[in-house]
Amino acid sequence: MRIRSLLSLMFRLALALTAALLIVMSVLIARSADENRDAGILAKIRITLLERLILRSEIYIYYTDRAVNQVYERSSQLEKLLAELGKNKTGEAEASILGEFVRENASINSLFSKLVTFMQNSLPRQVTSDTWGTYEKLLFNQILFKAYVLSDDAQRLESINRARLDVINRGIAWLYASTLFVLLSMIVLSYFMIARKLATGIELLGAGMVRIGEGDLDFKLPLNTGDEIADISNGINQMTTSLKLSLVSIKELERRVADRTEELQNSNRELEAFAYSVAHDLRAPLRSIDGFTKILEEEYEQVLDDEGRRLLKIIRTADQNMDALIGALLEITRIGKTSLSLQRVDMRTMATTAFSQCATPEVLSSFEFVVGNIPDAFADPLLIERVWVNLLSNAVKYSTPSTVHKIEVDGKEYDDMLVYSVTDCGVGFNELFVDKLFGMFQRLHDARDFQGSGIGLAIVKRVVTRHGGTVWAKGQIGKGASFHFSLPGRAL
Amino acid sequence: MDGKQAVDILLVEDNPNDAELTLRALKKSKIANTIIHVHDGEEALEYVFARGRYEGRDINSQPRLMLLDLKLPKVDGLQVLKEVKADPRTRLMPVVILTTSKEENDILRSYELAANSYIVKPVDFDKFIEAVKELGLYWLLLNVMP
Repeated sequence: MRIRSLLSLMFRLALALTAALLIVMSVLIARSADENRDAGILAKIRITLLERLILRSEIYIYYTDRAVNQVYERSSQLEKLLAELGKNKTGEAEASILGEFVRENASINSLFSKLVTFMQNSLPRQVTSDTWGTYEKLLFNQILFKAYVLSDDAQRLESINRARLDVINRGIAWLYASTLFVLLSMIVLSYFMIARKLATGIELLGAGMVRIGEGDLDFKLPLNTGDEIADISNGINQMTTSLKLSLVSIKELERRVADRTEELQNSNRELEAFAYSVAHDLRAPLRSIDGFTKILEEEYEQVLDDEGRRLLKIIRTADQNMDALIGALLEITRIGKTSLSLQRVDMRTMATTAFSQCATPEVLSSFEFVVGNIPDAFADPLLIERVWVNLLSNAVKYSTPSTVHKIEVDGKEYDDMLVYSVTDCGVGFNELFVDKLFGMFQRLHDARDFQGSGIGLAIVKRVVTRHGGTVWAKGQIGKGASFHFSLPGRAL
Repeated sequence: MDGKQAVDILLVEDNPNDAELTLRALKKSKIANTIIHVHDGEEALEYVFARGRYEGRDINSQPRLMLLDLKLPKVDGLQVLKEVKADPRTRLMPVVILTTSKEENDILRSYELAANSYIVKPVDFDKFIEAVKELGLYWLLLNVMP
C-alpha cells in the first residue's frame, strides 16, 4: 500500500472517530442533563410531599386556615412539578408509576377537599384531633395511606432515575476507555504501517546508495514494497543502469584512446628507427664516394687537369654536405628517442660556453657578446646546450656580413615560465616567412651566402617543445633578428 | 697468406668498399705489414679458432689487433666479440670496433663485452685516414701487452 493513501486513511479514520465520539458524547451529556433535571424535580416532589404531610399532620392536630391554604399551595406546586416531569417521561414503567401517582394525588386532593369542606361546615368550633369524629378520622387515615403510596411512588421514580443516571455515567466511562483504546490502536497501527515502513525504506535506500556509491553498479534496490520508496528505488535502479552503460562506453573509449596512442607510439618509434637506420645506411655509400674520390685525386693527379680536379672537389663537398645533413637528421631523431634527464642548468655559463664553440676564436673576437643576468633553468643539459649552440651559431653566421657584430643573450622569469632570447644585429629575415623558420630543411637565405643544413632551428624547436616550452622569432631584413624560447619554470 | 706468420691486423668487414678504404688507409699509415681481411663473422671466428676454412692454422699465433664491424652477415660483430673475449686463448687480443653505428646501445653493449675501443667511421676520407692511423699507432706500437 502506498504511504500517501495510508496517511490519508489514518487521517479520515481519526476524523470519523472524533465525529462519532462527539455525537455519542453530546447525546450522553444531553441525556445526563435530562436525568439530572428530573432528579431535581423528583427531589422537589419528595420535599413537597413531606411538607404537605407535615402540614396535614398539623391540621390533624390543630386545624387552621393558614395550614389548609399551605396544603393547597403545596398541592398545586406538586401538580406543576408532576406536569413538568410528565413531559419527559417516556419509559413504560415510569409512565405507569407516574399515572398512578397522578391518580393517587388527585384522589388525595379530592379527599382533602372533602375533609376541609367537612371541617369548615363544623365551624366555628375549635377542631383538634381529639374532637374529630369517626368520619374525619377515616378520611384522614385514607389520605395518610395514599400519601404513603405517593411517597413510595416518588421513591420508585427516584430509583429509576438513579439507575438511568448510573447507566449514562457508565456509558461515559466506557466511552472514555474505548476512545483511549482506539487512540492507542491508531498510534500503534500508524507506527507499524507508516513510520516503520518509512524508516526501513529509507534505511534500505541509504544502504543501497552507499553500495552504489562504492561503485557496485550491478546492485539493485528491492521493489517489492509497492510504495513511494519502491518508486525512488526504481528511479535509482534505472539511474545505475544508465550509469553503467555510460561507464562501459567511457571504458571502451579509454581503451580505444589507449590503443590508438599505443599504435601511434609504435608507428612513431618505427618511423624513428627507420630514419635512424636509413641515415646510417646512407653513410656507407657516402664514405665510399668520398674515399674513392680522394684516392682518385691523389693517385691520378697527373692524369687530371684543373677542371677534373675542380669537379672532384665539388663531389667531395656535396658528399660531405650530405653527411652533415644526415648527421642533423640523426640528431633530430635522437632528440625524440632519448628520455629527458632534467636537472638545474646554469644557463649563463652554458650560453657563454656555447658561444665560444660556434666559430673560430678569430671570428668570435670581432663580436661583442653580452649575457644578461639570466635565470637558471630546469632542463636536460645536453639537449639545451644544442639550443644555445644552434641559436648562437646562427647569430654569428648571419651577423658576419653585417657591420655591427653584437650578440645579446637575455632571460627573464615570468609567473611559471622562463623566457630566454638571443638577439643579433645581422642580416635579419622577412617576418612573412617566420612560420618556415623552424621547419626542417627550410632556409630563408641562399645556400651560397650562408652554409648550413637548414636543420638547426628545427632542432631548437624540437628540444624546446620536448621540454614543454615554445619558440618564436622576430626580425627585419637588414636590422637583425631575435630568437626566443620559453621553458617551464618548475622545481627550481 | 702464410698461416704460420704472425698477422698484424685481422679486419672483419663485409662491405668491400669500406674494406678497401680501410686497407688503403692502413697501408698509407705504414704501420701494419700483414693484414687479413675476412668478410663475415663466421669466417672471423673460423680464423681466430683455426677451424673450417682455416683448419690447421696455428692457434697460438693470433693477430695483434682485430678491427671488427658490428653489422655483419651470418654471425654479427657483437657475437664475434663475445666469443673471442670468452675464450682464454683469445681474450687478450685487442678488439677495436670500427663501425658506422653511433647508437648508444651498440657502444654500451660493445664495452660490456670487453671491446678495447669503439670507433665510428667518419665519412670524410681524410678524417678516416687520420682515425685509422691513430688507432694503428696506438694498438700496434704504443700499447704494451702482458
